[in-house]
Amino acid sequence: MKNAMFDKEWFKLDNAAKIYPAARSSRWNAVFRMSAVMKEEVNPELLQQALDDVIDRFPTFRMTLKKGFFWYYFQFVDHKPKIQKETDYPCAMMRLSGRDYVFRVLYHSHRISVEVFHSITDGTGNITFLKTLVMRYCELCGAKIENFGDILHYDDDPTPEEVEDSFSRFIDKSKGTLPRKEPSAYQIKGQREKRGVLNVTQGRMPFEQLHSVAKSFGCTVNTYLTSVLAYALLKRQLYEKKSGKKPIRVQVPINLRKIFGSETLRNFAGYYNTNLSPEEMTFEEVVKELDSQLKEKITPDYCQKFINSNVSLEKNPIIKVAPRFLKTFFMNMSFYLVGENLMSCTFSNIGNVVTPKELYDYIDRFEFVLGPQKYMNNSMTCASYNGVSVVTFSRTSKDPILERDFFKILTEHGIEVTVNSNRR
Amino acid sequence: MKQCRKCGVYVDDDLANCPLCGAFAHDETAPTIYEYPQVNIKTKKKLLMKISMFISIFTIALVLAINAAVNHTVSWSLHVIFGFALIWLCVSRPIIKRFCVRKHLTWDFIGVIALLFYINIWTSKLANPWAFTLGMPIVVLVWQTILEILTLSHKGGRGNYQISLTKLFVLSAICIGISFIWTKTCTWGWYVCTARGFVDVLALSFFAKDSYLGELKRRLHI
Repeated sequence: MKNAMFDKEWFKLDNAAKIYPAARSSRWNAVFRMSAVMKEEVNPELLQQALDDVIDRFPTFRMTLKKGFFWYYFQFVDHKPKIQKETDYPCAMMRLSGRDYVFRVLYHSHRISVEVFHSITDGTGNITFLKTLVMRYCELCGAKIENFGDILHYDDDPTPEEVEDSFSRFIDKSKGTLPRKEPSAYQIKGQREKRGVLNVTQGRMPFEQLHSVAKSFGCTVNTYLTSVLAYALLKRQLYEKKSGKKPIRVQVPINLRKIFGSETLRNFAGYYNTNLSPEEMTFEEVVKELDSQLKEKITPDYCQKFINSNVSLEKNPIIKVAPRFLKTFFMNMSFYLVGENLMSCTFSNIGNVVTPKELYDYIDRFEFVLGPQKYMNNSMTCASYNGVSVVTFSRTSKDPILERDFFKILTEHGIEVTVNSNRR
Repeated sequence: MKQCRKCGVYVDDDLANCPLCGAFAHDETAPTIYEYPQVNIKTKKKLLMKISMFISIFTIALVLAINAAVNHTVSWSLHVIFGFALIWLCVSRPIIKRFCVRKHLTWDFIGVIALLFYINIWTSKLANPWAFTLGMPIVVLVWQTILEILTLSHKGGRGNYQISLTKLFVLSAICIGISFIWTKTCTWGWYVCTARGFVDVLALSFFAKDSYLGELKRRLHI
């Protein structure tokens, strides 16, 4: 069945989505995961029913990726998606065959996970989908929910704003673009795992403790965690005592929806690379520096320039008429030159996930895992729910250097961290 | 839950060791349900790949060495290298990457064309480009026939076959141009291929208007 409201059989990829199919490789294909850990073991039949009910609410999820002559595009899929039992590492390679969905719903023990290919949506879109799916699942389990809050209800119709390409809508060429030249950043190297292996280490901690510690340093939880990460990287570089020190740059995604008032469920996120020069600093100095950067640099003007830079490249007439294989080649090159080399680590924080209070009896916590990166070994995420914050590290190297340093700093600050890992 | 003495973190009950430093954390791991599934990376396929790669590289190196030692030049050993490259591109790679029938066939035909050009270059250094003027049009005609059969026999999702037929039509038309530039004339082969491709496109536009034009629009982002 085709989506009746939009009568759309296919979508063009949005601006941010275009890089992912082009730059993917055998080690990396831009998959990320969001999970809800339930208090009871997951019932697969009810989960499948919940997915069947929910999928038509999200037309941009009911798509498969196809190759066009100039660009990739999304095409509507006739058959409904099937839930899968989790048997592989988190964010395992996704086969982009042109027939299968570019997202998957997995279950294992108490966990329901939605893994998506980044081209269909970003973190906000995925958490919106997961919340609707889990809410429907809880309803089928017997939950009586009176007020849905900001969760999209599976029975409502999708709106045109939810499927729009907000990058194209909010371009304003008069505001200029961002400079593209940036120096390369320090990255933790280490012996790489076999292809397909992703080591995930999670630290759970009470949100209140995290909040009060951040407050004692005079910053937000997001700035505090970014600072701890940057400080851990800084200390590691100084410890390595190598010549040619590089700056520490933590990439922080920006949810552009809040700034531009968009409701899209497709990609609409920007990035900002925090910059820390490689010299001896105290933690307080790092917090002060990053707090000022995050407050002063991430402005609507910066975000506008970010959109303009990305869209102007796509609208370039030469790029527009070039066949896909040429675009793929140049996108791969640019991803190497101006992509991951410019940052030390990614830190993505989806913040506090809010659900109706009735779901507190069903959901224990939310988790967020970034898949393997193309050149970087480490990435970090955070998700909070019902007073519990979960910081997740995913890495493709063998040694947990960064997470060890990171959690050590947190425990030194008096935060009680409980760790778990998929590596036994 | 026990606290790791080294790191100061609490370690979940399903782990025997601290995941950060590896220090011993629990006397026994009690739970039967783990937070994450046990994953076994399949190495059998990779081992086969590695063995075949090793055999190929070893054979090529050996043949090159013998050729260079005996003839003081690289001559007949090129046949072996070309053969290996062809088998890799047209047989091994499609099997390993699990290509669909259409993609498999595409690479097979590309392999045949490459072989024809190789023989042509080896025998007459392209002085008489029969691979382009006669061999390639025959291959394209066979290719078109197979695609037509597949398009008619396929129940749903014919879009890919239809687009492949269109690509062959465009390729044939381009080859007429190349033919005039290269040999100053054009043989009947390319005219037949182009005419047949045109009939295919016309038939698709007439009998499968919606699906064909829809697919074409999507591919061209119109």
